[in-house]
Amino acid sequence: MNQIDISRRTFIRSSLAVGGGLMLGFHMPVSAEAAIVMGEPWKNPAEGVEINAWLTIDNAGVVTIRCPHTEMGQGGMTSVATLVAEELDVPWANVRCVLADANRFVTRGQEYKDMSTGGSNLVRNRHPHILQAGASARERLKEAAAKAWGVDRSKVVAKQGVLTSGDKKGTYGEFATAAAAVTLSEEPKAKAYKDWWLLGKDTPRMDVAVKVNGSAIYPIDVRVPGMVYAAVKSSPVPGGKLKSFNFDAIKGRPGILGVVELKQTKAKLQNADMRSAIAVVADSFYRAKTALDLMPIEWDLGPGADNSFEKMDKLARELMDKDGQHAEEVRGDPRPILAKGGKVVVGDYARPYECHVPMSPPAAVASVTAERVDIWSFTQNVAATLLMAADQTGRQPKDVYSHGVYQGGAFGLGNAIDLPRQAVEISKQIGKPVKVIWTREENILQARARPPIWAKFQAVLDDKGLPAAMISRAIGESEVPDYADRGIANMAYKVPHFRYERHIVPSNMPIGPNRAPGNNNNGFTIESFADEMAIAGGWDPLEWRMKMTEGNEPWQRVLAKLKEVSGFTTKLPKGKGMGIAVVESHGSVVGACATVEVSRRGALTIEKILIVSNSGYVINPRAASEQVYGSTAWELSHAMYGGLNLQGGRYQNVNFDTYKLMRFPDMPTVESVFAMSENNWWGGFGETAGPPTPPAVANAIFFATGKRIRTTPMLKHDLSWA
Amino acid sequence: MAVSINVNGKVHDVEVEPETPLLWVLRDTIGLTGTKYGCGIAQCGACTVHVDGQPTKSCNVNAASVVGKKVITIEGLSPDSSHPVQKAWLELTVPQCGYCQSGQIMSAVALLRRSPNPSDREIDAAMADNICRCGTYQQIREGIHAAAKLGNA
Amino acid sequence: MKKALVRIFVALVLAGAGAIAWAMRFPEIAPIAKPDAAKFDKELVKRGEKLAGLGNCHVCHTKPGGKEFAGGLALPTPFGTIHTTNITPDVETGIGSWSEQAFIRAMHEGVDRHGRNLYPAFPFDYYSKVTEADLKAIYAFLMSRPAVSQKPTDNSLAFPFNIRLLLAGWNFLFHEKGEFKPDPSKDAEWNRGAYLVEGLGHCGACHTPRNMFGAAPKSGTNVYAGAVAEGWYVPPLNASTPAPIPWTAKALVNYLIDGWDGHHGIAAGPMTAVATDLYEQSEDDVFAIAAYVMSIKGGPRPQAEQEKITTEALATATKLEWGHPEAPPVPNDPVMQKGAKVFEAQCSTCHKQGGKPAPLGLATVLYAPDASNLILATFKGIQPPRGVLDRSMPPREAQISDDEMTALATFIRARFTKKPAWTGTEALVKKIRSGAH
Repeated sequence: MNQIDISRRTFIRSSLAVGGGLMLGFHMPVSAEAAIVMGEPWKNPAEGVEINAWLTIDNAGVVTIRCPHTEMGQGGMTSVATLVAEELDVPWANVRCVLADANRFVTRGQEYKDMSTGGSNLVRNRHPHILQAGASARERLKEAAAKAWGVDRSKVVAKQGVLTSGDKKGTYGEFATAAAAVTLSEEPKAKAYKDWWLLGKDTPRMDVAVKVNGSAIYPIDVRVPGMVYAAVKSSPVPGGKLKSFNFDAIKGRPGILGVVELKQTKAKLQNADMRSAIAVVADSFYRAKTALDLMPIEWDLGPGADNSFEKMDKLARELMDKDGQHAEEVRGDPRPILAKGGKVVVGDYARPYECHVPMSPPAAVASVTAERVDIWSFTQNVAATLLMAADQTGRQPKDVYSHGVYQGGAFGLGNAIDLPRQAVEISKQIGKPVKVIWTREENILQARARPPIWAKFQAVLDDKGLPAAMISRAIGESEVPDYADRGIANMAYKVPHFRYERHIVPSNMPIGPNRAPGNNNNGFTIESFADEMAIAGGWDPLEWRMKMTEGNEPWQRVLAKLKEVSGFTTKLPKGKGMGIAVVESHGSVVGACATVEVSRRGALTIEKILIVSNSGYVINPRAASEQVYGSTAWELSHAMYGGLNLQGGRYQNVNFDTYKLMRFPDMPTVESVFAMSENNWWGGFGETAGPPTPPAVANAIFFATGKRIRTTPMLKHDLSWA
Repeated sequence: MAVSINVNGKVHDVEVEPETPLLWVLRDTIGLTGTKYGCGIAQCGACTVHVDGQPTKSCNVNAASVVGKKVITIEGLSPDSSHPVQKAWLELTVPQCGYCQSGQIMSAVALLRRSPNPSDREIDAAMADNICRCGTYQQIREGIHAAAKLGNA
Repeated sequence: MKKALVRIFVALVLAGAGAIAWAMRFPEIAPIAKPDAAKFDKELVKRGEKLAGLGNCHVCHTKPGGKEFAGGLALPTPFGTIHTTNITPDVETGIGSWSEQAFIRAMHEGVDRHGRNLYPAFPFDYYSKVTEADLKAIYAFLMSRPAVSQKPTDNSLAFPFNIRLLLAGWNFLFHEKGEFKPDPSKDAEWNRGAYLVEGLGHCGACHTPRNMFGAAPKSGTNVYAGAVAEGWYVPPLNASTPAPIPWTAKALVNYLIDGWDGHHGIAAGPMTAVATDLYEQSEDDVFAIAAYVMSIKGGPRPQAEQEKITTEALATATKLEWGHPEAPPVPNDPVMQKGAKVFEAQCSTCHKQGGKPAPLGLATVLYAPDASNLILATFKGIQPPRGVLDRSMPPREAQISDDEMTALATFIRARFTKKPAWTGTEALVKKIRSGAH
């Protein structure tokens, strides 16, 4: 059974391998048919010799870099490839990138250290070992050449894919085989910022060519010979259980192959316990989905059915006026000072549940056979998916293959989903490869959404109009209360007496990470209140922030840049306004300046969002700015139009007709500017421009209309004036 | 029941219920997966194809209604990604996750066909039905202007 | 037979009046060399562009897929088909040789540069209210557009309406001359609104029923009483509106700018272009239009009454939504059952409980005297106005048979309103399918 079907295998891999130049051979697959490759699927003779787990080099000197992280639109493949290529010192046009293999990772001592993708971590926290992988390969090539030429390794220069020493010269390709056998006595150090030749420059993303002709393969596109399709429904009220269903009512419909009941499992792995669900299997997805919609199903909805956002909101607002269940004195004790009164500023804020809704509805293809398990799934971590599939099927991880494919957006949902369990369970039960697709409705109903937040702040101002004491009271959701603290407990404004408190409201709704979890909500609450404090104290909001963060270099740098490029002013004619906000998250300090116009009837036009990012080093300004545009649009979507409508323990707005997102005509111009601290500091970019955007807009609306927006979606508010 | 559909210049006789949405016929029956499912209710534009040259959401027209018409999908736009819109998208690295881009490109191509040098307002109107969750709107706008310069879209 | 008699009567009356009018006919205004576009004041051109938008000039003077303002659109009228003219500054085929004076005379008097009477499909009976200053701005705008050489299509009017002499008669009988005169008893906003509605906006051209001479009266009970335009039912602007929730100024402003309102529905048919044009206008002008239209309606209801009607109508309409737990069952009648089946298959994906901001039971279209608009929207789909670009409805003409459409319309009217069944639906479906107006 060790036969390898090269043609097929090359086929699926070639559609995944992406190149450094844009001059790629274009290919047009007739169908995205995947082959289940026996043996070690990461070994592809066409890619040449493996120098280490991270890269191979072929005779022509083409380097194939293996990216252990998910490519979900953030440019992860390009980031990994540029980091490795920087140290390897190879012409960018010779660089290819493929997704690394999870089976190899879990069975061979975790050579990639970590295959998870999220938290804006890829460059921020993983650059040391990725750079190291490139440096290590380079030194082994040098060592191989040194041995062949009888010189010391220190006399060999590796540059742009060529090794030289005196008059001796050879390519990386020529020395690849020898280098693969080299063991280094000591691993080299990564080079210094000033020596970079590739990092720090605009490098076009590598995965574009396959994304303009329909050939990029996402989980929903994978086809395996003999595959059937399944549509699934879990209890519309999370926590509910399947009571009964009537398969007889639909089994005569064309193409229906069967029904599979999925039993609830207890969570062994975080965020991935399987819910009680029912699946209809058919020979096409449309037939499976239509039949599932028609099948009578009864659910025991459970106690969650009484829950609603209204109820949670009522309780949260009661808790706002009570001492917190959890409290920390960050500095001093503000309570006696506030008790004395004086110029007191109070503000309360709330934001609702929001869903990720990646453009690709979650999908997975699984094949469970006697020998092995294969899965192509919606995920942000192929290794975690592998372990989940192993857990669900009771197989050894070595017999499970979790294949990397492009993700059609993930945004945190890919770290918190039971879909892979469903897929392998259905395949196991029906004995066939199966593709499971969540409809958009199922995606929203079952998402581990972003939790709501409520916050009440009270501050008393000193005679300079600056806060002398402040109490922050955040009310979070029960599952991950920690989200309620981010950016507030450790806020940058040094109020002399500051106390942080937290309450919890219970809910049946499962929650999970969602692009800048915690900060996305708290950025809005704290930065809106910052403006309220500044204005109450007679301060310009920008000057106030400079004053309150004196001595904090990353913040001062951002604020100075904002001042320099934004033209921020509070003196615009009625109906026009500018607003600023700054949020520190994921290792970066990011400022936003919004320019808005609000017409007499209250129509809001966001004219421009300026984003100033201080993330320390920027390895690829162009790719970083693309993330800035994206995360700005992301937060604007939720802040302007969003809000999941929780009633009866379930979301009522479960598709794009009622769960509204930012669309083309309303998207403002976003300008991305860097204010870079260059002191060997690496911050994240994937989600950091989002959090300051909504408060900047709310602050701008205040200056335009005199109306303070304290809840989102903002467009639900009547902004009319005059 | 067999339905005969002309996709990218090739006639396919497919065994589907006539009410099956064109989207699923393209993806699951014919195997052209470049056209994407996003919402199923004609709200997101990920499934946009051309039917007799008109941008059409393939999730919302059924197989029977395109009989005798010419369907063009992203795969049929050009054999080698040489369409000006594709070239502009490559040059400006428009896609992020890329999932919505087949639909974006098909909408943009249709726009440029009726208005070879569109204004920003025309772009807004023509592209309003296509959602991009990665927020690449700004790059799409630049891409359309760039494609217009490349001409003969 | 009756129709023929009416035609003869109309022709005779117009001919008689025409004879009188002939004595007062208009002379030719001498052609001029095409003005240099660059010489017009930029601000004036900009103002003209806005005003041309308020007048919706491009809507009629552009054919589908054609160059803007080059004309050629076929306008069906009861007297035959009229093709709109080229108003680009092309000397041969457009108005390139027209002086400012000739343009103003055309707008005020309804005659071309040669002094020939123009068909009143061109709403000069409204444009005559426009001030000279505004017309000069529109002239500057039009004359600085690109010249397009496109010969106007000959009109296919049935005898005797192809005789232009009759137009002189029409003009004499129905054209009220003179620019708009403000009413000092009303405030500035009302007067601005009246100027726009009665002048450039030419709202009555569609919203007022035309008499047998094809003229829309400017006074009397019929003014703004609702009519038919291009096959679409045009709802009344006066108090006789069938909308279940009475209009408010705020709802009107939002509807006119965004093209939809949550208590009334979306602009479709010929109104689409009007809302799209108003989206570009100053909000103050739209507030003014709303203020004037509210006065046509007899003013707002007392607030408490308005709120009561709104709350009740919303509650009723919400409960009737498809999929609402309290929604009534489909009656056991073959037509209703068939209509419901079509609704479920073709409409319910979007028109379901909580699916749309405006429940179907509030859509004015369902309260129209016949099913025209419902059939047209279903067959042709809705291309939303500019302010609401994401609210499109795909055409269903290819997917719904005549029988199904009849059943669907019957079902929708019965399910979502308490109004009696429509009559003549079957014939309307066939007529609309055939493309006739």
